[in-house]
Amino acid sequence: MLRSDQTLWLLVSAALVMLTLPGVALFYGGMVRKKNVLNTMGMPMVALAMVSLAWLCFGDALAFGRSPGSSTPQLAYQTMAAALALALVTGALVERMKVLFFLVFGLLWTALVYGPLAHWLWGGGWLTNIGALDFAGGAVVHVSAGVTALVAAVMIGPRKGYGRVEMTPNHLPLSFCGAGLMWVGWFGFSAGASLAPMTTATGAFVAIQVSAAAAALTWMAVEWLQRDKPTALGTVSGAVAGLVAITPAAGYVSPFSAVVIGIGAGGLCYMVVNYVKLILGYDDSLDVFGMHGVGGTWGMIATGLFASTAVNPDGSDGLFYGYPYQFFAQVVAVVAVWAFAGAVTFLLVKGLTLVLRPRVDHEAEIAGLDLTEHGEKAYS
Amino acid sequence: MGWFGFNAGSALGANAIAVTAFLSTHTAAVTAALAWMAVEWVHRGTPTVLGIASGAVAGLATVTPGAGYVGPFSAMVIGLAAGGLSYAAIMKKGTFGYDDSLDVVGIHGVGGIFGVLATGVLASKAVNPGGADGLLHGNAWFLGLQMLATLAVALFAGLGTYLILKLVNRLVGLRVSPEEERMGLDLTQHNERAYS
Repeated sequence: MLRSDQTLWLLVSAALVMLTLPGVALFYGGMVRKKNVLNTMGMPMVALAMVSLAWLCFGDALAFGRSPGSSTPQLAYQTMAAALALALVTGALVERMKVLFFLVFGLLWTALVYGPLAHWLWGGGWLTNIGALDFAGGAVVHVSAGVTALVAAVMIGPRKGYGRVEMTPNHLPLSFCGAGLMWVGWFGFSAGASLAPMTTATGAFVAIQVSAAAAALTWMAVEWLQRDKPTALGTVSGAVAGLVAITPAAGYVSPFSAVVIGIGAGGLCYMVVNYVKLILGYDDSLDVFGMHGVGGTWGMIATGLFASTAVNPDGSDGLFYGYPYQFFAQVVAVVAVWAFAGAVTFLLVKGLTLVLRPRVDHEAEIAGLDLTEHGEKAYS
Repeated sequence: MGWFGFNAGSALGANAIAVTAFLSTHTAAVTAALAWMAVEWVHRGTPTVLGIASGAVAGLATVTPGAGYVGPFSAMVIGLAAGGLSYAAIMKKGTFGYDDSLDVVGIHGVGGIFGVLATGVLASKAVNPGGADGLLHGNAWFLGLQMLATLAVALFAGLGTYLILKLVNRLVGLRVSPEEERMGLDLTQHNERAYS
């Protein structure tokens, strides 16, 4: 039986984490072309709807062994985290993916990739047993979503004209509103994956804030040096990268370690989004891999460096606090999540392509998905 | 998100009832969003994103009376019906010929009425001992009570609104002039513009 303050904090956190979904919808919606806004904003909300029902009926039972439909605040909280993971994946595939394909893929992905990973790291699975730490989803949500996004984007192929024609964002102010909602919603992750004591939640809250702030300023600084001007979109992208990277570490590290994690996230994600993507030539439309895959991987490894039992006695010490094993456990967890999410996504997309078309046809892509997939327009 | 405060807050404490209300609110909203999407997909050939959002709002409106009294699976039934019924109500709007600009009747009126009645069917004391058993749990009387409540609220709100509108019409009038309507209310009523 939960105490009422625990119930209260979990319900508030679940509501906050839910706020990240409209946040993602706005963040992504602003960055695509005018003809694909509604499709781009609709997919995260469809992910929220579909995953919520799937998590209630079987997902939570798979990952945590609670009976389907049990009324617990943990289930409410986990529902939102699961929905966020799938919502993030959409960003790599927008402007070309068919809605029906996404529905089938998303449902299977939640059952076959996200559910098992949540069990491995949080539900008493083998990664829990070797001592790998993931406070609120750095591996379960972000590495899995990022790697899935990369594999699926490569398999489905780039958008028509990618790299040759300019793809101008339709309304960046939407993206700023979205990043703002994500930032606020992220404080819900300070509840952690399980029932963290209030002191841990407080530490996590502070860590989330300073990591996002440090990453925003780092991205801005790097961009300023490299391109002579810091973009506003770059600054908020940096904040999102910082939020992602602190997710696995938030409850285990001191505020100054969180600043270092944020600085690393801003720099690393900037490099991948601006250089690695261009060199490798894959079309990850809205940089889901560059932000969540890379940021999550860095955050998981940084947890193995900076975790400290002085901050959280229920956590562990990292490499810098004299316990190299923790670093090793974090690397194992990251490698396992990369391999598992990548392999299952590969098989899923391969298999589904036999029965469903993953992308819209050439004319529909030119006309835009709002009109062809939904029969409506965002702007008159 | 605000609706969580509405329904879970009604429990007056962070307890099991608040959790139930939170989960049934969310479950009904997402089920209704998917239901609306499915109905529209079959009926019109494509699911609109506005429809998905409208479905979610219909689900929120419909589960409001029942949220603290039903479990998540009952909430799923309520959401399923909410999406379908509100969609149908809005499709039928044309036959009645009223102009409800943004479908308050279709979503909140129809959703709310159905929600109060569905509470009479699905409510369970196993979920909330302070509530009541509905028709499905062997208490047909409770459904009767909910019908009575619906009727009373509809009559009171309808009659009250009618009288208030009559009075306001006498005192200051209800509509802007046709000229002002054509120019738009931002300019004529507020003397400002949204877009430059």
